[in-house]
Amino acid sequence: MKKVKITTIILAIILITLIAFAGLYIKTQNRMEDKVKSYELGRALYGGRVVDIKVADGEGDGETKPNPETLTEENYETVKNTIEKRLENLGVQDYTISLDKTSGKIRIELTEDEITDDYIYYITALGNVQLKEKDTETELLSDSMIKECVYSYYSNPEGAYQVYLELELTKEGQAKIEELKNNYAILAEEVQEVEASQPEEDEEESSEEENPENQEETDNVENAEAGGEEPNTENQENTKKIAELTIGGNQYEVQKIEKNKIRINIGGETTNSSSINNNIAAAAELALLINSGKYPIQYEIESNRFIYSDITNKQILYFVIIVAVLIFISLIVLIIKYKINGLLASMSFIGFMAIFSLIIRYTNVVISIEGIGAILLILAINYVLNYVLLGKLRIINTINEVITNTYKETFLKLIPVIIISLVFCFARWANLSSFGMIMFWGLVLMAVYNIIVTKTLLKLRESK
Amino acid sequence: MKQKNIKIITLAVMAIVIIIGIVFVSIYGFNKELRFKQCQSIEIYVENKVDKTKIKEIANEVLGKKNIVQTVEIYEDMVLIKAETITEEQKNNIVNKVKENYEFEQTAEDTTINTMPTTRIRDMYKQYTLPFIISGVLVLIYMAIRYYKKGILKVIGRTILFPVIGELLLLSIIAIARIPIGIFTPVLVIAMYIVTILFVVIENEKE
Repeated sequence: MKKVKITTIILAIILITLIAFAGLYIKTQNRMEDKVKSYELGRALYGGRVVDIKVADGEGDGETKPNPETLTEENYETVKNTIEKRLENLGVQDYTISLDKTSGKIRIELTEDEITDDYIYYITALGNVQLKEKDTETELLSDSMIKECVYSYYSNPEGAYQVYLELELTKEGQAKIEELKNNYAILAEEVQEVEASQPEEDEEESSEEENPENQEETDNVENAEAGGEEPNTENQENTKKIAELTIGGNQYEVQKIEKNKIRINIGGETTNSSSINNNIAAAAELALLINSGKYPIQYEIESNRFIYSDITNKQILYFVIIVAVLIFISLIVLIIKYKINGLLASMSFIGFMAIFSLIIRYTNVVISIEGIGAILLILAINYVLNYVLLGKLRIINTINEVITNTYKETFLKLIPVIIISLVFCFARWANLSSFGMIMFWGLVLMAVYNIIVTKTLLKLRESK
Repeated sequence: MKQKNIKIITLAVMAIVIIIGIVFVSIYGFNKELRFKQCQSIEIYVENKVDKTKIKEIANEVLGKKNIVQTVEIYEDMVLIKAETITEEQKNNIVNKVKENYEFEQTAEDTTINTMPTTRIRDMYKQYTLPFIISGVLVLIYMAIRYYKKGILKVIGRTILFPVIGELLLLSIIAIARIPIGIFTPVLVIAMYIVTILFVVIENEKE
């Protein structure tokens, strides 16, 4: 009976091993399809998107020719650091960035997925904030006076939501805006008033040309003003110049200026949740661009392509073969030293490897070079655990006692490794989190699997 | 007594290796893998799916073993070859040899040699710093709590010293042997980190 149980367990291990390493082929639409999920490989093993950007030559749409004085190493470095900040704010988990200090060319390598194109947009998008005079394009307030940008929303009693962006000014910016408010129409309402009165002024000018008498009246008004009479306030408003706020070259209406904050509405008031989400996304995008810093030079994309890794399938296969041979030799040592117990532990080890490979695939862990290191480490730890277990079994005959002792000894020693794995699991960097996740699943599987399978096999053998 | 002598000799050898490593790094710096170095590249649009092995053989023949061959885009109909330097003659040779295996329009004259920028070592590895520090601090706290009976200062000292010496030794060996640092280096560093921590645990358990 015990022999049948052992045979059943071994056959189950063989089946799982075949499924894990050879696949499970089922006929789908007249062809055999492997239903077992494949591994997800990281950028170093599979490939990634490579984007080369260069200083804009001013010939494209919306581009300005760069001032030769701005083409310095320091500015190239600023652009590179800004790009890195944007990628970090976007939560990009794996990238490489390189700068050619001579030409200013920057190369960014990213993992290829559904949102890579969005990341690439942010790489060259301008987030420069400017307040400038409409007619003369004179800069009145620049990026350096913006401390921070936040976005939020409010709702009105009817339940409509308005998303807005708030630019927090520095002390210098605050003083500047107070000064500008007197001479410039900045708020949307003011701008509308000035624009509305402008056609009236034009009409007055043209009617003055036709009717010189009116011109006299105007002169009389001016003389009255000079005489100290109170001027017409509407006329004073109309003499204010218009200031336009632009972010990344796009104009936005200023809704409110309160203390050191400028508020800009993004989209209109709406109850439609899709529109609200779109407005929030647009506001978040602007906030990200503004908060990550300004580009002193404009850049454009030179090339944007997917490039496969230089690590070939052949190289991976050679590596797998080497590891397989090492594992095979180690298991032979186990069998030679511990005979039947060694053989059972070896079978169990093979089953462990098979289940581990399935867990890695089905928990969507991305395998990086560090992840491969974690796999090897787990296999080594599991081997040592089994080795120690079998060693103790020679001295202590009861399997339960052996398991308890070995587990206590091994896992207590592994607590620092568990701490390291957990910390790496939560690392933002994809390669480290790959290591952490694989270590975590490996340690959990090791704890559970050896209790269920290895212990059962050895116990059945013991009580034969 | 014999064990003590072995310990002293081992420490002395490690110290010498670390000092030599520091000297090497100050003079020569680390040797970077080709993918992170400033290098030159050519791109050949082959118009057919490329057999990377064949192209690699051609590249090895013309440029020597130190080169990288990568296929571009999903159809793998373009190949990117990188090497430390590529002369005009080498470029022409490569294009002509590839033309012997594939039919495509691009000629050696159409092919330009591009310069690929270098990646700074700090840019390669700065993302690893914070997780290492956090895990180091947590492991330190754990060790201090678990083995406080052995003397907190002794335990903390060991927990800091052993991994630091281990990493310095590893990096020194890499610098002295001019092993290129790149995508495989973090694995070695993490492995050394874990091995040294386990060594500290075993030493504490022994006592």
